[in-house]
Amino acid sequence: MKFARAVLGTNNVDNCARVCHSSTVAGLSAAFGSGAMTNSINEIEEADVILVTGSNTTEQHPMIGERIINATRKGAVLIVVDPRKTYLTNFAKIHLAQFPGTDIAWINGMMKIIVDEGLADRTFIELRTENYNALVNHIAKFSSEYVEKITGIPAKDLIKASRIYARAKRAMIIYSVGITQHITGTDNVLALADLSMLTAHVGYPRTGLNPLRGQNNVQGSCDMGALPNVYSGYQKVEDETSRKKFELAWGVSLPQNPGLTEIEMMELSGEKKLKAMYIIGENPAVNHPDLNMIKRGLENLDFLVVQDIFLTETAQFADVILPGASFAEKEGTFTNSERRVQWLEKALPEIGDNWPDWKIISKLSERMGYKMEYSSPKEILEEIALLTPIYGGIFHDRLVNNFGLQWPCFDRNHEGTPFLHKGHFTRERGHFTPDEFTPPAEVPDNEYPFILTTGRSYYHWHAGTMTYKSSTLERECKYEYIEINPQDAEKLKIKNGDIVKITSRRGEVKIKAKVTDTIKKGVVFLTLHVFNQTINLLTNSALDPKSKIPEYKVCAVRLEKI
Amino acid sequence: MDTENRYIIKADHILPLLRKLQMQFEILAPIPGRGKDILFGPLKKIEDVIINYNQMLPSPKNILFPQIEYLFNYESKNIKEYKPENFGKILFGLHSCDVKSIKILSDFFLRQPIDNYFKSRLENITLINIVCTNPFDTSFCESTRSGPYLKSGFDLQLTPMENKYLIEIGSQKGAELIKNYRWFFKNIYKTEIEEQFEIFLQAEGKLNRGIDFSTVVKRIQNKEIEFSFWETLALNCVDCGSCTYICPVCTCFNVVDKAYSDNTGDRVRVWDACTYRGFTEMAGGSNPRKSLAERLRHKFLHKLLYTIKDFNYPGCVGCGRCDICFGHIGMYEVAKKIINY
Repeated sequence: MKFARAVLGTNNVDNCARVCHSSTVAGLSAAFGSGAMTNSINEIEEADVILVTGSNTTEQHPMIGERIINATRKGAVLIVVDPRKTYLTNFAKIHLAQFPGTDIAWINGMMKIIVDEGLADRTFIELRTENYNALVNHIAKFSSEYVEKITGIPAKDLIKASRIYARAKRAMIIYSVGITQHITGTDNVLALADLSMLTAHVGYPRTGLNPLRGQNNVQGSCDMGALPNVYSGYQKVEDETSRKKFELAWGVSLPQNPGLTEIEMMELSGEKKLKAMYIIGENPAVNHPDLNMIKRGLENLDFLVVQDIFLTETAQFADVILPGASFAEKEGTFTNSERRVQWLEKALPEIGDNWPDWKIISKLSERMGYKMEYSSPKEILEEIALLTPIYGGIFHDRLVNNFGLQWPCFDRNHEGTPFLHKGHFTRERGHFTPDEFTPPAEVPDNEYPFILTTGRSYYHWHAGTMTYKSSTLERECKYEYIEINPQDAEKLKIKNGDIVKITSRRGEVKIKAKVTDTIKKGVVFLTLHVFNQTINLLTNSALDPKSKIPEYKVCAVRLEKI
Repeated sequence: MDTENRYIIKADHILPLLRKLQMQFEILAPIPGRGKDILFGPLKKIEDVIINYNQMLPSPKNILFPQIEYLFNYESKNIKEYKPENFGKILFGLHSCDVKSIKILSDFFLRQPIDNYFKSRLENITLINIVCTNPFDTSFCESTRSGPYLKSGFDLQLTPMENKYLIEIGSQKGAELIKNYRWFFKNIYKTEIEEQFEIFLQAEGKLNRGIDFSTVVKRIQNKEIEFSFWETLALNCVDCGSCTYICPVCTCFNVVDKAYSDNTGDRVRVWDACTYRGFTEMAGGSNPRKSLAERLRHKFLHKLLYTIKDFNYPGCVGCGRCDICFGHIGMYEVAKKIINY
């Protein structure tokens, strides 16, 4: 972010959170004032009630999934809201299977039940939140019957789940990209925030709204301001005091308008309005939606630099490729999902001619006429602490030989923060936002009668830049299927193992079918990791207007047996 | 008890001895890693060696049976075999259980057809273990007869005593080494053997855990353990395979080609895990062990029944490394559950 802003002089900087949790950052900042997991991973095992939605936790966050299972063994009640019967549903008291893209409806429905039955926590609402009346007026129309019609969730199950969640002394909500990757992603997050505030399930241990982040350091990338609208620690670029502070520290003048997001940059370069791009450790040519559009964007750039540990699909488009160092060959910090900053020790010497990322960037900026004279990542961490209040007490010596510190950590004497919003919200009062239910950008019609929802395989990691290199993982993931409900399969005369052609408005792929009641009628499911296939040819790049996250989770498709 | 084959070396003389040995051998020993880690790796500076460590180390399996073994390179029809390195190595400061684990690995790899990669490495290695006078909380090595001290199987065994070590010879290789550096070693008094015996007893007494493996085996053989037992265990298994990778005696491997182009590449042998779906799957797609429960059951039956049948000992050295399992499916907990089933 310093390279983009101080050296290139642009706010057009973004990170991969754009396509996974940008709506979390936007939504939670608006509702609570802090865009991160409110509570800690250790608290999960002690929770009374856990509501998991949009997260196949045992496959995508197995260590956290294990804790949820252990919690149920200790007596916690588990509610799963997911279009698929995920593994966790085996342990759940209730499984609500909604149609993809209808989350606001069931969340509003739950809130209406809670308010109508007098289960809302009036004291908490009075003392700690604002805009409650607007919410109550808005949710009035979301009767359980209306919600059932939209979501397919039986009214009696929704009522049962609402009562369990609201009556619990302490209840946690855990969610992941099933909530965020929609055109209503930010609103989905806001609605969940409303739900947690309504029942006072936030601001205490074993409660809260807990997004599970993907990469080891995606929280860190956001914290460090690799985002078009904020500096490190979510200090707004539009705010003059913050900007002046960074200008003084870096000795340059900085642009004041927020920059472009990832997908917007790709669109603009497709139109030849954006000339050059520097991509570090990301593989948009595989993992971005509507790949044909992305490839057009990459091809039309005048100049592309790619920095990665392998020669990725994206690097095929590059003019210059810079070899980076893998996690084992460098030192520095990672910030994980629970805001924990941990020191990374270097385990291996650099292989070949690669350099750690910080060194590449500082050498590059030196050649471009801006001196970044850092001797080590320790020194960079000191600059972060100086300029970033929430990282103010995080120094190298405090991180080594322990499990790190959870931000906010304001100074050397601060012990870090296991759960946020204790006593008051970061933005003083929690803000209720009435959220309107909007159907997904693409709904099934006669031509494309099925909803395709996507997920990920246990064995592979996103674009597969690293995991496709492992023969064992490749073998384990050899058979990926499209999941089809038995009733739909019967209608289309598709049997287990048949090859099916899937067509969306943007592309087509062919794959084996698996007929299973894991998935609801009218919905089909695919992982992004089908061997030798690129599923993102199908997905939709329609964006959430608030966070610009693309809608990976819903698109309309047609199936044909071939 | 005989005073033969036993000598005394002063604690102060361990480093000088290692320095001499280093001229002739590559020494692998416990060395400091980053942070609080202790690794088992090449000893570059003699002073770095950690003798009184009190934590689990990575197992030495990787040294004899590397995680990735390059077998040969192919370029069209030209095949170039990779030979394993053949200089002498000393593995110094091993846990007793790790020496036993190498014995178990040898019994597996040296069966017909003999694995020449393993064999040539083993021939060049001298094993020196230290009696664990402070066994770890998670170990149950006495139950598998692989610690805290050994009666055989080592080349040399050191027993820590006050300001000195009692050194025992367990093989011709060990005897040779003592002979070559005889001036470091003093003859032993009978009282010192009694002292050693006392230390053995104390070490055993410090073990927290124990398993009666014969009961475990009997219960399985009598078919008392129903399949639902394994199904319940499998609910907590995330199929990560760490238990097999970290296990010092697990030997599953796969052979794959690392293709660099259409006609060039390396054939490599990589660690695998019998708990993975693909491990037992046939080319046509059928799989005799479809469910995770069946595969977990196989993993434990292999260690608890089949290895005992073939070699008369369980496929476990009681080190407790598999306690890392987040789903509590390590050997100790499973064996205990079987006993209380």
